[in-house]
Amino acid sequence: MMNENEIINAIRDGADRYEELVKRYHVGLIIHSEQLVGGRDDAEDIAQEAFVRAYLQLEHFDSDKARFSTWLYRIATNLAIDHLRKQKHKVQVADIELLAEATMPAYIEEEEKLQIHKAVTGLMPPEYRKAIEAYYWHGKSYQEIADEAGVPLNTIRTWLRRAKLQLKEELS
Amino acid sequence: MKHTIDQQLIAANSDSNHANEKFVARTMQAVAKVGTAETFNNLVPKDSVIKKETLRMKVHNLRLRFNSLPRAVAIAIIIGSTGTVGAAAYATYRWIVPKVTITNVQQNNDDNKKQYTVNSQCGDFRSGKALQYEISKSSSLTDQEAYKVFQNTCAYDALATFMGTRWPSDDGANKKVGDVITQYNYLNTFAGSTAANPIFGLTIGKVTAISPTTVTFSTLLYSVDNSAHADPSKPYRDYYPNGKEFSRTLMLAPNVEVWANGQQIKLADVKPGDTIQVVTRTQNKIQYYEDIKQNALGEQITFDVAGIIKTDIDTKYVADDAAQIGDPKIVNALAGIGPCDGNPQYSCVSVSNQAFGIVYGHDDSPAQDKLNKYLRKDITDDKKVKYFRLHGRVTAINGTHVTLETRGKKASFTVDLPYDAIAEYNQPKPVVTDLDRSRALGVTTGDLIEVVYGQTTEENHLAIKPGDLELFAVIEQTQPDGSLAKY
Repeated sequence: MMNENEIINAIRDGADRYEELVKRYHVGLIIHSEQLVGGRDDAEDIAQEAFVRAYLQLEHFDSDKARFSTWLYRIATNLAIDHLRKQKHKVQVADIELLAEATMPAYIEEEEKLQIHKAVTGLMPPEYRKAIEAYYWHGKSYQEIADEAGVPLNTIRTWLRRAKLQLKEELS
Repeated sequence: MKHTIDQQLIAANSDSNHANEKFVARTMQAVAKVGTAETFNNLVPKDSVIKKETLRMKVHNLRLRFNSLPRAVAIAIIIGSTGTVGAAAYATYRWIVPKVTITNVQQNNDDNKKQYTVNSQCGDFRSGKALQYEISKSSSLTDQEAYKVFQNTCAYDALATFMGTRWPSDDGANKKVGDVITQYNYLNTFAGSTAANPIFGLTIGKVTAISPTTVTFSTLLYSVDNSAHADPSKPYRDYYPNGKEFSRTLMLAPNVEVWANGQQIKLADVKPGDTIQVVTRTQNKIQYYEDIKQNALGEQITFDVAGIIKTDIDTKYVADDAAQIGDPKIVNALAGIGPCDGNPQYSCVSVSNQAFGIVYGHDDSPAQDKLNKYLRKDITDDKKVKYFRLHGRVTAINGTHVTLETRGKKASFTVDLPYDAIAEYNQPKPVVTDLDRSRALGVTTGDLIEVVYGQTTEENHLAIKPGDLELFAVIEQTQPDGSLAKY
C-alpha cells in the first residue's frame, strides 16, 4: 500500500488522488464519529465534512507534526464537539475527548494484523465474526447489518459487544 | 500504549477500498464541490484563514466532473422570495426587552465565591430554574459586567422566543428541496454548519450599511470554530480568543418586517450603528440555523431577510454557547447555582462546556468497553433506579476511594471508582493545546468534581459504588499556584 504522504504530495502536485485517502480511512473515521455523536447519519455527515475540511487544508498539513489520519480524526473530533455543542449536550461535549481517544487511529504491525484476522475468524458463533467484519471492515451500519441478518438492531449491538469481549481475551 | 479493541479492529482493516462506496462517492462529490467553490464573497471573514485557491487550481479534473452537472440543477435551487407574511395576524406578539435586576450580592457564598441573586422575567441561563450565580475564582468580572451578562442573555433568550412565535420555522423546507436536488443535501449539511464557517450562524450584529434591498451587519464571534483549527497545534476552543469580526450582507424581502421596542417600524428607521437581529428565509420558509450559501455550481444563493428586530443587546455579554457571540472570558466566568438533581438538599453549579470526564458509563458507546461496563444496566429498565447528581470538593484520594465534601461542606460523600482512574488520568500528558494544559493538571484535592450516578431511592446516596457511576468529571481545578480555575 502506498505511503499516505506520497499520496498527499501527489495531490499537492495536482494529482486526482484524494479518493484514495477517503477510501483508506472512511470506515474508521465513520466509526470514530459514531462513537462521539451516537447516530450513524450524523456520524457520516461529520466524517464527510472532516474529509472536506482536510482537503481544504491539505496544503497546510504538516506530516512532521502528525500522521494524516491522526489529523483527520482530530478534525472529525472537533466537528463532533461542535455538533454536540449546537445541540447543547453540555457534559458530553467536554467528555468527548475521552471517548475520542478510544477510537483514534492506531498503527499496528502486519503480524498483529494477522493475529487479529485470525482471532476474528475464530469467533463463535459465526454471527459474531460476520458482525465484526461488516461493521469494522465493510463499513456497514448497525441497521444495515441487522437488516441483512434479519435480526433486531439491538441484537447486533449485543453480538458486537460479546464478540469484542471474546477478541479481548483472545488477543490479550 | 495498549490499543483498544476498536482501534485494533479498525487498524487491521487492510482493504477498505470498497467498503462504503456510497459514502466515498458522496464525499468526493462534496470535495469536488468545495474544490470549485468561487463565491464565499462576503460570507468569509475579512481576513479569512481559508486558503483554497492554490489547491483549487490543482483539482481541474474534479472541476470537470462537477461542471458536468445539468444546468437545470442549478436553476432549480435558486431561491425565490415572492411570498408574503401577514403582519396583522401576529400583531399581538411583541418583542419587549425583559427586565433583570440583581437583588442581592453576597461577597462570599458557601463556596467562598461572590454570588448574585437575580430577579429575571425570562428565567436564567444554564441552570434551568435557579436564579443564583457565582463568579469563578479565577475571574475578575465586575458587578457591572455580571449584570450585563444577566441582562443581555435574558434579552437574547426573549428575542429568540419572540422570533419563534412571530416567524415559526419550518424544518420541512430544506428537506423538500433536498429531496429533489441531490447536491442540496450536501450543501444543507456542509454549508449549513457553523462548524464549516462560523458566519453561517451569524444573524445578529451592528448595521454597517443598509439600503431598501440589502443590509450589511457585523459582529465579533469568539473562538469555537473547532473544525477550522485543522492544524493540531492550534489551541483548542481558542481560535478567536479575543473575538474576530465577521460581516455579512443579506438581501431584504420586499415586505421585510422591522420591529423595535415591541412595535413595527419602518425600514428607514434602521441606521448604521444599530444592532439588529435578522430572520432569514429561503423559498418563503423561515430558517434560523440552516442557511444555504451556494448552489450546486458554487454560486451564491440569494436568500432574504423576512424580519429585522432592532435591539440594544450587547452580544459580547450573551451567554449562549451555541451562538458564539459572547466573550467566553466573561460569560464562562458565571455559573448558575441550583439544587443537585435528586439531591435537592445540596447545591450544584451549572457551567459552560468546561468539564473533563475522568470516568463515565455510557450505554450508547458500544465500542468502548471501559466506558460501558460501569453504568448500571438496570438504570433505564428499572424505574426504581434514578439518576442523582452531586458536586463536591475532593478531600482525599486513596486509590480508587475518593472522599469529597458537598458545596458548603454540608456533607461528606465517597465515590469508589471502578478502576484507578485518577492515577491513570494523572499520568503525564503531552501539552500541545490549551485543553491539554488543563488536562495535564490532573485531579487533586481541592478540585470540584461532578458526580452523576444511578441508585434506587432506598440506597445511600452518599456512598457511590463503581457500578452506580455515570460520570466523574472535573469542573474546577487547582492550579499550580494553588488557585482555582476553570469553568
